[in-house]
Amino acid sequence: MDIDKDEAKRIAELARLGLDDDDAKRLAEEMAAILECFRALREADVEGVLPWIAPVAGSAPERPDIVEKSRAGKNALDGAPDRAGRHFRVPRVIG
Amino acid sequence: MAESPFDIVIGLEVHARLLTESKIFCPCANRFGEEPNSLVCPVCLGMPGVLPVLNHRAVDLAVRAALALDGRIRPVSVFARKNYFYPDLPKGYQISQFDRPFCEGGAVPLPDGSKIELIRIHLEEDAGKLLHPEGDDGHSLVDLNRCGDPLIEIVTAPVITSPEEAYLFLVGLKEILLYAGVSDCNMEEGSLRCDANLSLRPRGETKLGTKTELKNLNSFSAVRAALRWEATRQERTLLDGKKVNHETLLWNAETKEASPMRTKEEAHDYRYFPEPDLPPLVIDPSRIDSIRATLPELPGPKRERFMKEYGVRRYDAEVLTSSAELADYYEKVAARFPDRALAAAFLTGTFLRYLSEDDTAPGLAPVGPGALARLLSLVRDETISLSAAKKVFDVLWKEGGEPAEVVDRLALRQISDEGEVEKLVVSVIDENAPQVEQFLGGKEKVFGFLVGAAMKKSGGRANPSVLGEALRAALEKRRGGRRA
Repeated sequence: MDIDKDEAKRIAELARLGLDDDDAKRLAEEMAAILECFRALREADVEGVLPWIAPVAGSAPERPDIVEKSRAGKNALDGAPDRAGRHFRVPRVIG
Repeated sequence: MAESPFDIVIGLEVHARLLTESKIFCPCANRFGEEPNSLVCPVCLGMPGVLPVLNHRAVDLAVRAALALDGRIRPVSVFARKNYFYPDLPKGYQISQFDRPFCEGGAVPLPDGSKIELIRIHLEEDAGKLLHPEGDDGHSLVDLNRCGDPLIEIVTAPVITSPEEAYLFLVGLKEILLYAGVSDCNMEEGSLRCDANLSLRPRGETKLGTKTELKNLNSFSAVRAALRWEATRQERTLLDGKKVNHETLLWNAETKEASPMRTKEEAHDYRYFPEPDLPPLVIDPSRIDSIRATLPELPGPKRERFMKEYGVRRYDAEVLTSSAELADYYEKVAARFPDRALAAAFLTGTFLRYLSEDDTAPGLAPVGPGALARLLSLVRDETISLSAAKKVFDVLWKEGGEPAEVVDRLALRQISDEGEVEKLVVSVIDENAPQVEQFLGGKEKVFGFLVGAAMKKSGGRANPSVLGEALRAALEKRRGGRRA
């Protein structure tokens, strides 16, 4: 897939990043170069090879269902830029 | 919409919160109603550098739900990141499952014997809760206690054909999840949530039409009402020659209308990719077998067994098996008391009314199955009438005690002794001479009045059939005496 300036801006918007035209142009070129590397990988013959998911073999480790209280329960809000009582206060997203 | 030229196509997505002690990827408590932002840790707050560790019990419960719903467990499933930015999701992604969910297929049986097929069930973490307080325009409040709670998402195929069927599906699904003990399904606490999508297509057409999604459906009846409303709206739109827009609608339970959700998150591009922090989930066949071995009898089979074993009617069987606890209670009564139809009638009537008035569960009812069986035995052997049994039940429920003792204390023992009943009849005939004359003159209806008067005189204790016979015999005797 080719990356043009508009596509770079769309991706930036999904990541909530503001890009000006120059940034968008530069990032489009960089992303296109990255995708070019993946294009090279596509030439490998992967017929019959299962998708690679994780670097370790075996199943996801599981922990017992036991509650532990974290200190964060008390001080979660300490670093918040804005708060109202015990809530984080954030700009409204739904209009 | 009886004569509608369109067929309705509905699909549902149901989220159920699993009954674990702790969250799915961290040891914070999975609990509703605590102080905001108190059940959090660096993992569910999305702090940099933390790693998720899967909760064993969450997997067990998810597998249990899947087996109860007759799904196929995938031996190797994969967690995936669903990326989106929203204030209820501090990591910027939700750990979910995408193209390889742990369960595929499955079905929920409906009362008419048909089935609603499921596409899949997957495991995921919940997001936090947003509040939009009035008077603080432009801001929302965030509580992350719910963030990371373990959920299963159950997705139906687009095969539901009416709002009523969607409702029946939800009732059936909830019953199964409750029976299996995987979720408390409490909608008020958000333990069960449902999104719906609906489209119309010309009758007989196989291609799906444009669908809309309905959110903010806080009860099963809200789901049904919203789907009815939306089906009507889409039909009008299409009949007007307009097109249905693919959009998300928010249901307003008060105005009973849905309106398009206005959101800045226009682009739904979740950019799923395999979760690099979690290896695939491998579910061993022996684990599946041992979970299957602990599954209880499910509502459908139990219903059939109740009809066969106890001879109860389908409707009673449905009511009695609507919760596992009520079904257990009934079986305990039935084991001690042979008249299963009387037991079923008493449980589905009086007993359920007391339960709902006190908002309590069968297992916590102040009258246990043993006492109820002894009470009903007194009705069966005609010691007391059914209406007296209800009075005794009220006392047992409120004060406790032994049925036979309460019967004596309230002097409710039925009068079946013929000599005693005859005395009663004689005095009623003496005291109601004008009515007796009317009866003898051919006014048959007055008989009921005389029975009522005798019953009243006995304090409601006369055995109705003995009384009826004695009264009729006495009156006929008079009639005969006159003719002679």
